[in-house]
Amino acid sequence: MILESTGKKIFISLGLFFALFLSTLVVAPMIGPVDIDLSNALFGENVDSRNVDAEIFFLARLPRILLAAIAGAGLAVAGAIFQALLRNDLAAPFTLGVSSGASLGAVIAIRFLGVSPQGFSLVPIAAFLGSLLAIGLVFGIVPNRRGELPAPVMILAGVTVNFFFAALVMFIHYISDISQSFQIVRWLMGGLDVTDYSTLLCISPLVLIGIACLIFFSRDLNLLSAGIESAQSRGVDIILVQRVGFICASLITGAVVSVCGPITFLGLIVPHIVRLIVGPDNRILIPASMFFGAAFLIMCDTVARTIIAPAEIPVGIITAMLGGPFFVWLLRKKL
Amino acid sequence: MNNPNNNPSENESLILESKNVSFHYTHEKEEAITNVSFKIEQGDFLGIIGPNGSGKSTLLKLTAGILAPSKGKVFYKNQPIPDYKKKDFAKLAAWIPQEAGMVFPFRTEEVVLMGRYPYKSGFSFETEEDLKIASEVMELTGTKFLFGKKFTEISGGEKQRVLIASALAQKPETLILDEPISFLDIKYQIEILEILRKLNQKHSVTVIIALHDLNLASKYCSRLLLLKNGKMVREGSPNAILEQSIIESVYETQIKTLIDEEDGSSIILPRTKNN
Repeated sequence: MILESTGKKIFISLGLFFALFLSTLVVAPMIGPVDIDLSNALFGENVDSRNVDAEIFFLARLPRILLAAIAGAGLAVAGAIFQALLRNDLAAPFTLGVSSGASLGAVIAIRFLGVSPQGFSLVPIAAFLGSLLAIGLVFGIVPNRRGELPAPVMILAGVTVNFFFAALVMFIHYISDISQSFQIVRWLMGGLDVTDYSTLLCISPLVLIGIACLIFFSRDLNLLSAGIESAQSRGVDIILVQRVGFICASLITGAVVSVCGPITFLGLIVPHIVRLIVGPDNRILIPASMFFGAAFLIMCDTVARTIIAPAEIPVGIITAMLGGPFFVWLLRKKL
Repeated sequence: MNNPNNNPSENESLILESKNVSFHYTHEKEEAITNVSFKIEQGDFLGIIGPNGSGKSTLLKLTAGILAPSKGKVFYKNQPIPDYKKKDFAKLAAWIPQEAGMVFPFRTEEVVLMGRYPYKSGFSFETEEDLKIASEVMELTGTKFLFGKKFTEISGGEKQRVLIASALAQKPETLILDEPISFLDIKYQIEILEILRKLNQKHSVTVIIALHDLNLASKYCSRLLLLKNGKMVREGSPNAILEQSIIESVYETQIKTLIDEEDGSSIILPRTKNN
């Protein structure tokens, strides 16, 4: 028997996932409804409106692809964390109601607030506040006297918050006019189409710091995912780890959803695919999910941008259309 | 080989002491454990027995520091358990659950290596030493052949042995086991108890174990602690505890006690009602 350190394995598997991520990052900006001259875009003399190639490359495609990378990475990692903390492989970033909270915030902004006096949309801000409200509610309902967060109660509370907020969303949707209603439906589908570098700068630090934090606690998450009491008997500070885990994963989800809307299924399936390949060790699973989630959303978004060009499909539709069949396959495999 | 006389000698051999310990679950009316006091010496093989719901698991979790008593204190080597750093205590005493509610397909060796947690900090990978220890404890528990297999796909008896290996990877001096053999057939039951006996006798590991099977408790434990409704009924050598009148009243069942001529241990037989 040869027992190998996980350290050696990690570089090989992570290297592969990183290579996949890098190649999508390089290839995706070149694909689109309009062919661009890459050398002119990168090395052309004018980097302004006279250089159409550069404009398409730097202003239309690149920020959107970077946002896809950040959002995909964030949702995939959040999914892996929720699955580990709730010890349930059907858990996803939206299990605890984060996306329904964000949706509620967004529809309130669309129906009642509109655009701020300075001219920027209040929707992402309201959506982020909504996601915080949902997290706050779940954490207000659940903890027991010792401060523990029992998984079955968390899931129930999350599902309840989800239904309650979904009802409020439907109510506001119902009392909205046609144009607001269209905006609401469009938001609820999830997409990456409203992107500039400033939104990217707003959510990237939150997502990246959150992921770093979760990687730091990945060994503790391993023990926690294998059983709360065993973890406790081995000296895991379960209250701390649960808090850090739930809060980081929820904030990452909230940040992503507030900008991209509820992009479904990615947070559920990416950790599953990665777990099938590298196993359940969170020290590998989390960084590998980060790379694969980013690559997966870049690919889905490239399909969404090009398949019915010049029109676009919301990327949430593509992820769900790919995710649905995969999910069925996964369930059948488990039976 | 059975029933060594446990004369509580110097205080140095005292491993664990429970002093007037009571415990109350938050949402329940009655106490789960009421005023239980006992001592465990180095090298003991203490069996905790009692009917379903008598508080065996709760008492074990109190001795393993997973639950904190609502009244009284549990001392490990004369120091209250909460005074230990959590990881330091895990290097002294390891707790093994009845069932590992493992959802994710960790491999057996990964499960064993989780036992090295108390010796690690932050984000890090296993050292050569960790791997050597994991290899040793898998040898000791006869689980090397399970290497590379998924924990979620092996049999109940194999799972228990992997869990014991994982606990041993903590390098503890005390093992606390919560009914490790309840779901196993007799072959695996004996196999696991033999492993524990070997650890107890050859590696001087102190064993605290909750058991359902009174006859196996009688054969393997050096002392028994009998619980009913969260209260300690009695504590002593297996032959002293497994007396007909005591067992009949605690378990509310008609039994008779025989003596196994081979090793002098008490055997409990049920009395059927059709005569």
